[in-house]
Amino acid sequence: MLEISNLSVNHGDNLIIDRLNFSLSSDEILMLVGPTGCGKTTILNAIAGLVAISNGFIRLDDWEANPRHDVPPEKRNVGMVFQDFALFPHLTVLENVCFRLKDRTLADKWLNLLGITELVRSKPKHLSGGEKQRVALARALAHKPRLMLLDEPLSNLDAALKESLRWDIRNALKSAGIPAIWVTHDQAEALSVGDRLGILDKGKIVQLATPQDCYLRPSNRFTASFLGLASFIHGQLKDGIAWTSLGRVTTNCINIEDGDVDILVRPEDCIVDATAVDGNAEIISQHFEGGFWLYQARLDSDINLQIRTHHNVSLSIGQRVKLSLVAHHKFTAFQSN
Amino acid sequence: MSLWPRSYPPALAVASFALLPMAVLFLLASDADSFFLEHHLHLLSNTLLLTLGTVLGAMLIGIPLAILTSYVQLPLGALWLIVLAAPLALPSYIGAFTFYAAFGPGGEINNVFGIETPSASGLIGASIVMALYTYPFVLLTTRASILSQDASLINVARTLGMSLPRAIMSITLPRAMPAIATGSLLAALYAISDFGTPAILGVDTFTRDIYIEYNAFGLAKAAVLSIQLLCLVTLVLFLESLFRSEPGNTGQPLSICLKPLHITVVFLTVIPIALLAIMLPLAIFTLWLIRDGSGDFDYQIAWNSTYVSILAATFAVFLALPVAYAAIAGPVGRLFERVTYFGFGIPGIVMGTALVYLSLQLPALYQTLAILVAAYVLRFLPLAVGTVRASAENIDSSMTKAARILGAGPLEVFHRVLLPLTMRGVVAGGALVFLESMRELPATLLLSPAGFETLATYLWRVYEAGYFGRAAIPGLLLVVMSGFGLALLLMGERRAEFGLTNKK
Repeated sequence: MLEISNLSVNHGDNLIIDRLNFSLSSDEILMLVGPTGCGKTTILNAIAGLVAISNGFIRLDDWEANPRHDVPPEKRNVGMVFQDFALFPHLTVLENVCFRLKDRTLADKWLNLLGITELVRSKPKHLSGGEKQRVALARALAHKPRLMLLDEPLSNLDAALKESLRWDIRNALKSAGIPAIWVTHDQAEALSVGDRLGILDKGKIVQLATPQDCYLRPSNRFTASFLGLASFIHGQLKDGIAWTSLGRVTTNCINIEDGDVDILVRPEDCIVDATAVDGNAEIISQHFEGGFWLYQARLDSDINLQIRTHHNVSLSIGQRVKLSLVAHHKFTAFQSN
Repeated sequence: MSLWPRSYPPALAVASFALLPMAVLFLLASDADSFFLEHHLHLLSNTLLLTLGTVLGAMLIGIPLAILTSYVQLPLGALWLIVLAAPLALPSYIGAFTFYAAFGPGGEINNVFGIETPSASGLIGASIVMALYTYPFVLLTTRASILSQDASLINVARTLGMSLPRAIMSITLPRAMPAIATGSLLAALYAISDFGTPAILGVDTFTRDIYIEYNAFGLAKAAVLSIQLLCLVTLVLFLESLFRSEPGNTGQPLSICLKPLHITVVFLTVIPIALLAIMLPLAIFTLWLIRDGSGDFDYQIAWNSTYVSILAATFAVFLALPVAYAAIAGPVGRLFERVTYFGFGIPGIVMGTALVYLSLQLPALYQTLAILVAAYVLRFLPLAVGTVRASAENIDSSMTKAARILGAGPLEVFHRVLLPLTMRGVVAGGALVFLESMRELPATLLLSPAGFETLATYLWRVYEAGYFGRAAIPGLLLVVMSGFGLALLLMGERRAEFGLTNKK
């Protein structure tokens, strides 16, 4: 079990990580996502013992590191998969995977599970990106870590490979039965593979919840805009019900005062009626996404909304449409500022 | 977290070791009766005139060749550059010795062809000879700068109606000025520090006079001269530092195709330079070999050179490792590295003077190989540090992190990851130090134990005694050795100042 309490990291006078708190149990996968420079990688480096921490503590099973008592990386028993894979170029795949192992059994197990047994004699420079990734993962897992850290493990790979490797990595982590922290900047990755999702901004975790919660009930506007497309329409809140120009919606908010609010509208939350005579919006742009159309519409109240429709709903720019909101959905509202 | 702090203490020790000769010189000079004599003015003006002549000559040859080799597509492209850079690899005393023997009344050219040639001795002769061996500095730095300039500027000038030669003069060259200055100052540094050429061609410079004082048991006077010489060196190094840091612009350089007639003209102008600088020494030594045979050459001498150079290379590499790692680790480490570079600026004759004095104070070292090896290590350590650092810099930092996280302690990381990955640099650095030590003359003259003759000192004795024929074998061996050195240089992983690897 990993426990992190009040963890801060300074670089000179800059606070890179600001009082971080969370814990991970058994085989949970925590995704960390955030914009460039939010401190994602620094968190991993701090947990691995690669940067000094200035406040708080990190505890994993049998060790605890704090500013007064550092535990060197080699004593922490964590595994790490680097963005550039960090395979030792002078060693073969097998020598990499067995780097500090006397017994090959575990190495063979993971090489086999990850389907790279034929590569054991190759040197890293002869491997493809996906193969390097599997070797790096096998190397980390074969050393029996108590915690796995993955630093944007898929960012150096092409799109088609990402999709399948994502699940291979998740399955491998689950069958190893260890907790993992997986840093990414890819929204789809962040929402799909993890058990929990932490959204970082300027060194702080702004929301830590299940991916569904983070997407559907973002705790603030930053999270709302960072995950997926977000539009906001104005409303008046009273007793959990908000009145907007698109009608009455139910909200899921508890800690919010009645009065002026902004309602978060995802592109999937809108329904378009192209045949209605009493249109309330005009289509101003269109993007084809394959399975869907993404339209932007300007409401008569001068607010822009993004709408996603099935690819057979074809609208043209300038067309008048009637927009309404999905009825059964509970919407997230933020206090207007 | 820094993963390398363990390299700091040994790097600090090496840096202090590198400062040793300077400290010794100042100690020694304080014994001298007078710090400045009228005679010194004479030395200064000679040294400066020789330097000026060398730099002018080097620019005159180097700049046109730089334009030629960067713009013109010649058949056998890369080979030209190698041939034209080759004089840099030849030790100056080889060139000076063979020029001395070839030219003038009674010289070999006179003997073989019956043509009267002027003697190579004196200020003008020495300047010409020195320019022939230093123009590659100007050629290489200038060429690197020209290649980094985008062709579009020249093309624009030509569409605006400017002729190609004028466009090169008024657009390319002004922008290459810092590089030309760097190359010229490197040539100046060489001219100021060199012992062989002025000594053999009879120009009374600082280096030559230090040797004379040393032989007259005037070690304190030699130390004063050494410090004055070091001031000149520092001045040049300072000037050179002002022109460093080339912009890394990567445009498509201009490419010119010449007609066969023009190519012939180019061949005719370039070949004499290569002929003089490289072919003349080879031809003279070969001539002597044919005429006088091996001259009873004692191969023990070649083994002596090899043996002492292997020792120097081994020690230099061992000392270079912590310095190179420290240089990557942080700013303090970079300072240590900078300090070890002092040795490179100290002329061989000055290093010799300092260490002779040191060995007189420490009788255990007097007339030992240890002090000679120390001189080589101090002078050529930067070569080893440079190559080791270059290969260590290519190691991604995630490599050491990954090893630590897998459970390896710092020592194991060094032994299993860093060292194997820097091995190429270690071998290349060792080889460079070995080759430089094999050819080193002035410090060896001052420091080699009685009866311990190396190829370079043997060649010097042959020159002093006038039995030129005996120089054939050691001379050819040294030229071959220089060829290896050049090959190593071209293989890469060299410090940027020497820019031999700036191929586009």
